[in-house]
Amino acid sequence: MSHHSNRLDRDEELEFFEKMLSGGISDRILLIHADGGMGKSHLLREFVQECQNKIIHVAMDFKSGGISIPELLSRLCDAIGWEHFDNLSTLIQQFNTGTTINISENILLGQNKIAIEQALNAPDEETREKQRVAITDALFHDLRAFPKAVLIFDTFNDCDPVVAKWISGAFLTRACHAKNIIVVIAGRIIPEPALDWHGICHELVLHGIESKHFEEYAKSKGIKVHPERIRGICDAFNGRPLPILNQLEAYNLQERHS
Amino acid sequence: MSDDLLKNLSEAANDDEREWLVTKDLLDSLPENLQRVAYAASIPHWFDSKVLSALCPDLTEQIENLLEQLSHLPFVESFKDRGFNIHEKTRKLILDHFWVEDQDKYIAVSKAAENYFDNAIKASSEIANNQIKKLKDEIKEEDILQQKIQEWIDNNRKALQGFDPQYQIERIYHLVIADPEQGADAIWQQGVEWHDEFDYTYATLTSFIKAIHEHIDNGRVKDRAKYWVLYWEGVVASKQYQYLNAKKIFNHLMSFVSKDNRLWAMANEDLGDVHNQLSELPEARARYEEALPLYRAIGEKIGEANCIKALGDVHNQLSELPEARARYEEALPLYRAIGEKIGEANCIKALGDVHNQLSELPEARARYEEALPLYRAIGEKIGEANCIKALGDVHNQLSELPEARARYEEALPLYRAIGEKIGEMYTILNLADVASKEKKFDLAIQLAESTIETAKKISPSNVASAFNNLANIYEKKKDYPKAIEFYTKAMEIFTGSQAYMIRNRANVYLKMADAENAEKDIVRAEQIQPNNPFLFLRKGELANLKGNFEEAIIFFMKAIDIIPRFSGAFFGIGMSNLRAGKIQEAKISYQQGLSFTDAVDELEDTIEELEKLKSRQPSLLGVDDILEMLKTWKPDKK
Repeated sequence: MSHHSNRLDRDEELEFFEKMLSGGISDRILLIHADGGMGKSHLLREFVQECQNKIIHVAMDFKSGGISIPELLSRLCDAIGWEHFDNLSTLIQQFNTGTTINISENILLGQNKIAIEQALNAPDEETREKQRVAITDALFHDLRAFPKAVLIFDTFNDCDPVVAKWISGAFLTRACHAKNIIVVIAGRIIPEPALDWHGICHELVLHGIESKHFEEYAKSKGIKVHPERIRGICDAFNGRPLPILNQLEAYNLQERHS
Repeated sequence: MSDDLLKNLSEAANDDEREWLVTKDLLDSLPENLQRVAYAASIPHWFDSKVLSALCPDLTEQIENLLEQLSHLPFVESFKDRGFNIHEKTRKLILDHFWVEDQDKYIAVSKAAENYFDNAIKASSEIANNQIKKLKDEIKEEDILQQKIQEWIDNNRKALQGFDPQYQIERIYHLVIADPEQGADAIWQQGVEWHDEFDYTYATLTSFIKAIHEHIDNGRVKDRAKYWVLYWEGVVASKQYQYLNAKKIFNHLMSFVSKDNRLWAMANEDLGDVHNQLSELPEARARYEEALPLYRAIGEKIGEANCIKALGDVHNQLSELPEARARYEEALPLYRAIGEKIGEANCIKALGDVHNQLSELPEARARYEEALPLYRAIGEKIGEANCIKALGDVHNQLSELPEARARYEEALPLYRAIGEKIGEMYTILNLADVASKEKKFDLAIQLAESTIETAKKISPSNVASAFNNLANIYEKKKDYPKAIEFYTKAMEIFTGSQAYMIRNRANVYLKMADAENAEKDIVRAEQIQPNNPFLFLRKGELANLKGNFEEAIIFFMKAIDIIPRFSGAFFGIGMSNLRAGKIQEAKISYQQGLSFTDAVDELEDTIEELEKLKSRQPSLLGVDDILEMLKTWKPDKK
């Protein structure tokens, strides 16, 4: 089935990601487009596994909701360690000169997130945009210090519209110029490739999986179902993993209880 | 089921129906308790053993084991830092069927979920309050206290998770099902708290709206709760400058009927603001008038005062100055009664603006001087800068040019410090105006031109305004073709209802004695702002140009009806009488005009007009006397 046990076939996609990591291809932005239940989150977990202990990486899932730009930046820096973000920290301090943050009144947010929120606070959209761009520049300036860093965003379709605009714009433009950065974005909706970064971007559409892989999966799990039946179910769902696995699990349970 | 599965799958009407067949088969295959837990786990957006215990309290003892089994099912995913969740697609199918097939059970589980998240929020709050109180008692130095609190927060993230806004969203998400009326109130109250975020992205409010929409889109939530969600959607669109979208959302909301006076009052007021932003002033007025009695009915003083003030602003923009003043005077005691300092200061400043437009300059100055310390006391920098700039405007109109410049130069760094581009731009334009009055035209033009790039970053209407001000300088320089060129450019950039630019160009055409083009502009300006005093002034001047002196006097009188101290209109009547041979009446009118004149330079155009008349008609009686009267006039410094 694959060189990973207990998983369905996504070898091609994983190979592509491995090539991105090794620099075997020039693409550094990977957009994964897939309908619900196609297995994209599972695939991203494999990507994370691939990075584990080798490459600095951060994975963020927008399904949890309410992730603003300050929240995203603060999570990213928390995950990697604020000590690696001197430029960003200095800029935030500069923007916040003269303001104080009362932690006891803002427990929910955490000091760093409040500081970023305040740094992005301005009375007009033009100034806010300028500050967002300056903060993005500082972030990538710091990220360039790593030999390689991978940023993975899942469920982009649930991303806040302002954050989505920022990722598609300032963020990916900077990522495009930072040659050590790899970005993976997955969702039912993905960013529209822009002129300045479409040249290093690869769009991947997750298609259904062939029946034979489900047959092997059932066999490995000890689920006794006739291959014909699996083929029928697979055809009904065009190889979309979630409903097919649900049905195989139903057979598994029915068999155990019979 | 299994035997018929392929047949049923092929006969299913759509993908959802097909997917439900297999999901249901799996759910039906689960042992009874695991099945119960699976249905309950679909209600929240995420779950762990504590959540599941709260949803199925009778299974508490087995819950860890059941969670372990549940987590291995294909439709269960891990959820970072919060446990697990049911896959979005499967969850939707389960909830749709759960709602239809056992609504009472659905509501009961939602009630338990609401209770769980409410308790989690309260528990985090209690833990934090106790610890902070303890640390405050122990540590008196503020810096060290903040550091210790931060350290404690970092080490107790899990216990403080109830502070995460997603917990509050989750609580209300379940409350709208458990108790729709309380849920609707919670949507209103939570929206009030979240509609004002530091970074203006409204991510939390947007996430909140999205969560409740899930119920609305599936028909589980109706009426008030649904309307409040629509309301906040409109607010977010409006805050993000998507005025047309906001108008669409608010109008959609208005198509429903609700007895919630607060909701209807707030929606009407906000839609009024949107109309205002779109320069749809009659529509804005209608909305504020609709909101006002609703606020009164619920005894919401701040809403009532804001609506009255907003109505004053509409009157002000329509040049209905007495009505604007009356509204501001009505709102002011309301703001004072509830101690709303910002509203009080804004009303006083607005009253100053009305006085200013009515040429009641001492009264305007007094109002600005009254508002200024109020703004300073509450740290409202923009109000402070606006007041200082307005005081500069008063000096400017009195031709106290060094004082005017000093005020503008005081306001400018305040605007810059808070990044207020519009205030900065108009202050520079005012400095340009001062320079042009000092006949330093090159400097004035340079200053006005320097604002164009800034204006481009703000909005087309501000670019148009910058060109309009540049044209004003050329008009003062008497370079009329250049003035017309820039007024025309301003109008081309902003095609909205900027009637003052059209009237300004008409003024230049009148000075060039081009009656045909002046009339075209006057007609166009009248279509936008039919009751503006400066429109009547230009109509009077046009009638004078055409020799229709009686008609001219009627127009000038209309202008005086609106601004009783309108010196320019009195001079217009003087000119009509003079040219009609009524010398005594003319002298009286010029004297009246002088009694309302604040500065010598206000007389420049009038003197020039009389000198032109003298050169055209040297035998016309009375011209020399009036010229002498104007040239020797000095302002009453009192």
